[in-house]
Amino acid sequence: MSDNIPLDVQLDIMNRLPVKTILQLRSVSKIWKANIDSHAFIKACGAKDSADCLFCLTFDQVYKGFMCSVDSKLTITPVDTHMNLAAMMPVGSCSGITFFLYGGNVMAVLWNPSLRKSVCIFIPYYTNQIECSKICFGFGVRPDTLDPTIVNVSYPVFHSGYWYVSVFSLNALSWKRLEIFSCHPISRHRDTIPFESRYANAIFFVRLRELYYHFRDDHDFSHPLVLRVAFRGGRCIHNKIFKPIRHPYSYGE
Amino acid sequence: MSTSSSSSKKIVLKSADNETFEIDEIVALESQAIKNMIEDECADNVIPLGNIDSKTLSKIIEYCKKHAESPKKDDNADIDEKAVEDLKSFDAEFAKVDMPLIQDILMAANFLNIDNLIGLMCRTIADRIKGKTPEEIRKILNINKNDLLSPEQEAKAREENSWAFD
Repeated sequence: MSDNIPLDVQLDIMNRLPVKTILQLRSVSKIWKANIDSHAFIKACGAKDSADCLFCLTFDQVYKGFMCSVDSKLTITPVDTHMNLAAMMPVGSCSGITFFLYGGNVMAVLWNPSLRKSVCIFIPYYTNQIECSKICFGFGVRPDTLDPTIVNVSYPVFHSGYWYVSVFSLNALSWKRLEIFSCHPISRHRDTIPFESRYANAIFFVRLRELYYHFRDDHDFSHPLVLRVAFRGGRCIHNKIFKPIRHPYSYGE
Repeated sequence: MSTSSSSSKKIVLKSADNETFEIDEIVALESQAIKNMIEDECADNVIPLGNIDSKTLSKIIEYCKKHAESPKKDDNADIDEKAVEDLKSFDAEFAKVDMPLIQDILMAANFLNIDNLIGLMCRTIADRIKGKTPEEIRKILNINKNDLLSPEQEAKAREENSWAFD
């Protein structure tokens, strides 16, 4: 038997290699290059090949952006980036893909550092949305479909009014509005303090070119209301919980 | 799972070089392709495998025998650790063969549709590819000449990911 190894088996072999090796192999053949450059690969690769990172810390120095990831043992690992992070605010990171906001709330950027590829997404505004609304974002990779997903919640700051919740799927490349939530009025909402991020009981402060971190065992001073959107069995489930935010938050300087 | 079923049905496989192998049906069922043939009752007494030579086929039978004897994961939740370890070390030992034979086994496993064996061989090849140059990999995988990038395209691909080479 001296025939070529069938393509699907070649892909199977490819899938078992670390990302860096794979990128070195883009020049092996046309089929390998096409596959490595494909959308599906970028997605699956990020989800597979990353250590979990709780936070990403970014700072700028002399017009150059720096980024570090912090894992659950509080080890800080610099992430190699050539991106201009001055205008980008990191929101969250999941499965090796980091989600940034660009230019206020104009554009979302999904970035896969291991492949150095990024996708930009415009954030929708609804014409019937009240003007002084606040927008917050969540980001995660759905474990069932490996689909990077952004959740966008817009709510009124001062008055009671409607919540607008929409979900972006990178697979579908489109936003989808969750209808059910639009008729839930909300009275007050407490905002997170800038430059502070929290994970479980630990509170992190990020300031000018230096990093301080504090821990507090009690977290009774603030119980922000959190809208949690979860995906189970292909269905989107959302509920409000009164717990500290259980996903990475970080702020750029 | 009983392993000493001497009265069980036998299946005869015939390799490309006309060597015959008589195996228990339960061993042959490790191959999804043969399983389908048996279920569809289109398997005669002898199944000819015209594209697998006897060296490869005997390796594959060795693998299937071992795996057919071991308790399956989905049979019961609490299978004993020792059997799992045993199977692991068997797999590791099994994969210690030279590259052409690995490829022959992979192609045959793909033809016979033996999932575990395809996985094992892919893993082995992936381990051996790590740290190799594109040229060496083309040789290992026997990439078709028509599928190669032009020198310019190759230079461009390298340049785009130059950071990955440091």
